[in-house]
This record gives sequence, C-alpha cells and structure tokens, in this order.
Amino acid sequence: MKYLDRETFLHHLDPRAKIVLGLLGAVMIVALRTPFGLFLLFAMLLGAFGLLRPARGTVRTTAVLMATALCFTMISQGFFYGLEPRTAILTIVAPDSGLLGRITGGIAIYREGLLYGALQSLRLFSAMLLSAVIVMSTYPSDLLLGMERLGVPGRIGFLVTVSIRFLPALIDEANRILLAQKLRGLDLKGVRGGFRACRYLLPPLIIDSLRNARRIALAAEVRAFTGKKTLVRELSFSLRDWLVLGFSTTGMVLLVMFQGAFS
Amino acid sequence: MNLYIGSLILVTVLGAVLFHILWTRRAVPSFSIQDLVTAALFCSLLYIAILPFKFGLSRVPLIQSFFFSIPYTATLFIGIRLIPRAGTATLIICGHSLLAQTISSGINPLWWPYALLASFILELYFLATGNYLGSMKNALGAGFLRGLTVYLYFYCFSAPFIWHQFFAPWYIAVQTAQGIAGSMIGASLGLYLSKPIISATRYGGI
Repeated sequence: MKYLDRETFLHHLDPRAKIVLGLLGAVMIVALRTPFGLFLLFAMLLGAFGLLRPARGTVRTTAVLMATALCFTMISQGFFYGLEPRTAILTIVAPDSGLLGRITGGIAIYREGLLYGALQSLRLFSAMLLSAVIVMSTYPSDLLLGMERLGVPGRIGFLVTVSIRFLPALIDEANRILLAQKLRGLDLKGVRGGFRACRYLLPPLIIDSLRNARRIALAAEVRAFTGKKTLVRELSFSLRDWLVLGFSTTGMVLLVMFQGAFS
Repeated sequence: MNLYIGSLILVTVLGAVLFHILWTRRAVPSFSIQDLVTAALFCSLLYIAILPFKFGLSRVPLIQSFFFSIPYTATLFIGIRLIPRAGTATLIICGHSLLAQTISSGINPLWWPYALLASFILELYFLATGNYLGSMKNALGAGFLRGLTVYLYFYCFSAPFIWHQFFAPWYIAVQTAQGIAGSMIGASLGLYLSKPIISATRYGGI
C-alpha cells in the first residue's frame, strides 16, 4: 500500500486524529468477539476504504490478499481447532497411527475450525483495511510529523524519515547491482538463486549505501542538527477532527459494550 | 487480553532491567548522527531484504518461519556488527518496525511489544556476554535466542490473544525450531558477510 494523492474527506483529517483512530481500531480488533461486532467493524473500514476511491489495481491486490488470508486462516484453524464439539471432516493422521500420530495427537480438519477460521479472517481483513486507509490517506512525512507531535522523540522521527528516504535509492541500487551480477553470469533462479543473490548483493549494496549514509550524516552534523526540526508546515487540529474522533470513539465504545446483546 | 497486558508488563520489566544495568555501568546509549543514519540505512535494508520472502516462501504455511528469519537475522546482525554497542539492536529492530508500519501496514501498537521483546532480549544477551557478535559462538547464541523468543512469543501470545488464532503445540514446536534454525543460519551468514563490509569501512575510505 502507498499514499494515494486524492482530495477526500479522510485526506483532510489531521494525521494525529488518524493515528489515534488507528490505535482505537487496533484495540477494537482485539476486543471484539462476536460475529456481528467483527462484521460491523469490517463494514465500517470497507466503507472508509471505498471513500478513498482506490484504483482498480489496488482493489484487486487487496482482494487477492484477503482471499489468501481467508484460505490460510481457514485451513490452519480447520486443523488446530481445539474446542468441543468438533466434527472431523477429513482425518489425515489418526491419533493411533505410529509415531507421528502419537506426537501430534492426530491431525484432522474440523468443520467448526473452518467456520472459526472464516470468522477470524474478519479480524485480519479489518487490520488490513485499517492499515490501508491510514497509509493511503496520509503522506508518510505527515504521519511522522503527527507521531512527533504525539510525543515520539525527534531522533526516532529522524531515523524513520531517513529510512524512508533511503528506500527508493536502495531499491534502485539493488537492481543495478543484480543486473551487473547477472551480466557476469550469476544464476538467480530458484531458492538457491535467491540465497546466492543475497550473498552477492548485500555487501556491495551496504558498502555503497554506507558511503551515502556518511554524506547525509556529515551534512546534518555541519548544520548542527540536534534532532529538533524547524517546521515549514504546522499541523492544526480542527473542529472536524474533534468531531470525527468523538463520534468514532463513542461508536467503538458502544459497539464493545453492546456486542454481547447481538451475539 | 489479560495475557496481552501480561506480555506488556514482561516487556516493561525487561526494559527496566536493561536500563538499570546500563545505568549502573554508565553505558546509557547515546548515538551520534552518523550512527543514527547508519541505523536508518539498516532499517531500510531490513525492509528490502525480507520483501521477496514476505511475498514468496514465507506465505507458505509450515515453512514460513525458516525462510523469513534467514535474511532478517543476516541483515540485522551486519548492522549490529557495524555499530557494536548497547542500543543498536533496539534502534534497528524498532526503527524497522516503525518504518514498516509508517509506509505499509499502518501504526499498530499491538505489534510494539513484539519488536521491543526481540530487541531487549538481544540487548540483554549482548550485555551478559560482553560481546557484540565478535565471535561465531556469540552470533549463533544470539540467533538461537532471537528465534526462540520471537517465535514462541508470536505463537503463544500474539496469535491467540491478538488474532484469536490457535495452533497445536506440535505446530508451535515445529515453527519455533525452524525459526531458531533460520535465525542461526542468518546469524552465521551475517557474520560472514559483515567481514568484507567492515574491512571496506576501515580501510576502503568510506
């Protein structure tokens, strides 16, 4: 997921409001236990994702990621469901079939586990959508500015900002080195090729990047950088931010309080 | 939820022990701008190094821990070898976690104890041994500890109490064993790859 340049309601919210809403959403993902509550949270986040008007490719990627998460969660929970009653629909290793059966206590797919996995997938989908909404509607530097305003030390903000700046340069450099290694006859196919690529890529990439790092550090030091920044842009928390924060918090608290009534 | 809060308390206690040791030894970490930029470089490198595995082999159930931990540990340990002192592991692991959350997965406090635990365990190990990956034995020990802590915490705390997913004990044992093996291979790879990098830093005019 990456920042999406749009003029939507979510884009205009203060990054601090989005960070706080993100934290609340993360707590909700853990606290909600009923299918109704989880579905409502998922529906709200899906609505917020739709508000961003994402490109068709992004929607397709999100759908593929969700389908993969659904499959893996259903399969893993189908195998490891431990509550009773449970109905085995396919026994792979019987409990009394040799050493493997004794160690594992038997491996089977349970119907209730598959259903539990499908329900728990809503939790994963919500986490996925929550991240997508925050990342796609907030420019990374604004997110960092918001974090700094919420009390994250300046030096940590500097560390993350510099890491973000390093990323595209590192990817370019890595591609260049890999191309050079391929031209020299390095075979990068398969798992072995992947490890070989690591071995031949990392040292030159790090050595070259360290050179850049020294240059950046020198530039910051000669300007007497202490970790405190003189900001060109200040964040402003408006009435709209307070309203969104207030309504969302109330809604979330009510949902947690009344989730039992809908179970 | 109670166990999640329990894990938060555990991380806080570990952090307090670490800080106390550093305070009594008068070795509270203080990083220069150059160290910070180098750590930032390793945060980005960690992000890039695990990308191919994140979307490839690490999504395949049963073998994900092994394939994920090799590039992660190798890159992390090269970073620690370049800035061999207290606080580097925390800076790189937590910095990478924040970076990944800022640009791709969204700020999620539920993952913070995971990153802090992985960092504090390594810091305490380095402090106890008085060695920052100076030998292969130390690197293998650190790799073992990283694999053991991170995967046990994930499968015993994060998965059931955050994601409400349950795994059979034998599956947790298999994943943890793979995580330990992967981390130890990554540790030895990191140590092996860091040698030419350190030589270049010392004698290559970087």
